[in-house]
Amino acid sequence: MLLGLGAAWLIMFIYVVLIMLRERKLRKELDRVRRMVENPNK
Amino acid sequence: MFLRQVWTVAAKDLHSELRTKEAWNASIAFSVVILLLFAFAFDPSSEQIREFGSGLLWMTYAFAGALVLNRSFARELQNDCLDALIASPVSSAALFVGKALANFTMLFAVELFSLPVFGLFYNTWPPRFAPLFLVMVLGTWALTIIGTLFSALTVNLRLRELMLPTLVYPMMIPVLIAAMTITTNVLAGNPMGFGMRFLVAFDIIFTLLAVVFVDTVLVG
Amino acid sequence: MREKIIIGLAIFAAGLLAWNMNTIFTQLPDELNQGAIYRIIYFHVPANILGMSGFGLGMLLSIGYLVTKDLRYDALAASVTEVSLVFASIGLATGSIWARIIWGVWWAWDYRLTSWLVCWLIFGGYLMLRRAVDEPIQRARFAAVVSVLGTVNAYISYKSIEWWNTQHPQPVLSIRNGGGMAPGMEAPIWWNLLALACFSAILVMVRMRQEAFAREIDTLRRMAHAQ
Repeated sequence: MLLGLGAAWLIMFIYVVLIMLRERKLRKELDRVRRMVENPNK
Repeated sequence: MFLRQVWTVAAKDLHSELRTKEAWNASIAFSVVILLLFAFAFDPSSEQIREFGSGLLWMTYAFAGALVLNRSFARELQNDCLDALIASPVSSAALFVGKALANFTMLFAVELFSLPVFGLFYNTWPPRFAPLFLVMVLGTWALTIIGTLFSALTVNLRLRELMLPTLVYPMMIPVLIAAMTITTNVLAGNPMGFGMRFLVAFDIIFTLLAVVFVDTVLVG
Repeated sequence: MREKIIIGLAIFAAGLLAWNMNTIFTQLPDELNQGAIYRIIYFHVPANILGMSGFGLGMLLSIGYLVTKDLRYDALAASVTEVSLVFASIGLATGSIWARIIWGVWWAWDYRLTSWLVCWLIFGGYLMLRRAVDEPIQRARFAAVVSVLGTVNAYISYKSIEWWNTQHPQPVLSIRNGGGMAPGMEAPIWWNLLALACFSAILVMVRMRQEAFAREIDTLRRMAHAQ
């Protein structure tokens, strides 16, 4: 039983971690591109 | 008018294939290799072969089909032929049906070739031809109609050769199940069952869906 | 505003989940035939319901995109499908573990398991396809077509695999056949469904915001190239 519920929570947890990693990556990328547009010489 | 356009596209495809025979040679060789490999996975001399033999047969067809289907739209990439075809007065539905017809003919030819090989290797020769051909026609049409649509969808993608099988095989599962069950019955000499009606319904539904969606896929 | 909704929903979902866990583990007795393991049902069933309705919703949203050509529908469809795939994975994993203990096998080739796996594969392909296309409008078009065909196909698979012998228990929930479970045991399933639904709504909202980020990045990139 614990195995089953553990698996359920684990999958959920992995997904949340993945989504957070992606969030961070996207924000970084957004910052980079914004700076690139505002200051194209750099 | 529509039929003439369909015919032109199909004839063009078959013509260029006949000239090079790239896809045919590859998929015929491939299907023989697969049939040989299956012989090591299962005991081909056992009586059970009658039960799962049809499964092997249809898996061979599905694998060989991927080779044919992969080439179908990819062939038009050189010299931007695909853009020219889309821009031509041929409607995308006619283009699609023509391509599907050409693919069907090619795949069916490959199947006709590998059927006696299967019969020889797995000791199921001669089968009852009339019902078997009926299943093969219906099942192959279902495989090609799905495959041709996804071939159009994946043609411009990175990793086209990988994306097509991953998308197409799950979609082919209902057809393969039905075709395998009917073929098992045919090989065992039993009545075909109601799977035939299922195949006909599947063919009609997916032909309609594909014709509806092909414009979205090709033109947008 | 969106942040507030997300946080509010998160608090609500967490509270409801905690309360459910309490009911499930401390209030309810073990089931007569299966013992403690039956408690998996409180995740297995809601996760699968959410997965299934999510794929259906994804198809409707894809049709919405094809009709309106509004990319927000596409972003929502992608988010919903992705979250549904997570819940489908949970359903498959919990089901497999449950099957191991009750049926003695990790995987029974039952029609519901098999067609659910087919469904999982189809929508896994959907997400892979989205990654393989760079151009947003083309991606939306292709994904919508795959979603619609995939949903139709998943239903047909379900029906066609049904011919095979089946081992999965018939539905025990009261909406189908008047209920095969003790009354106190069924309610937590619905409460958990609500909690997980809130949770999935949060995930979808976060995913939507990410899609918006991705769109913005795309526009900015274009501007940068145009300069």
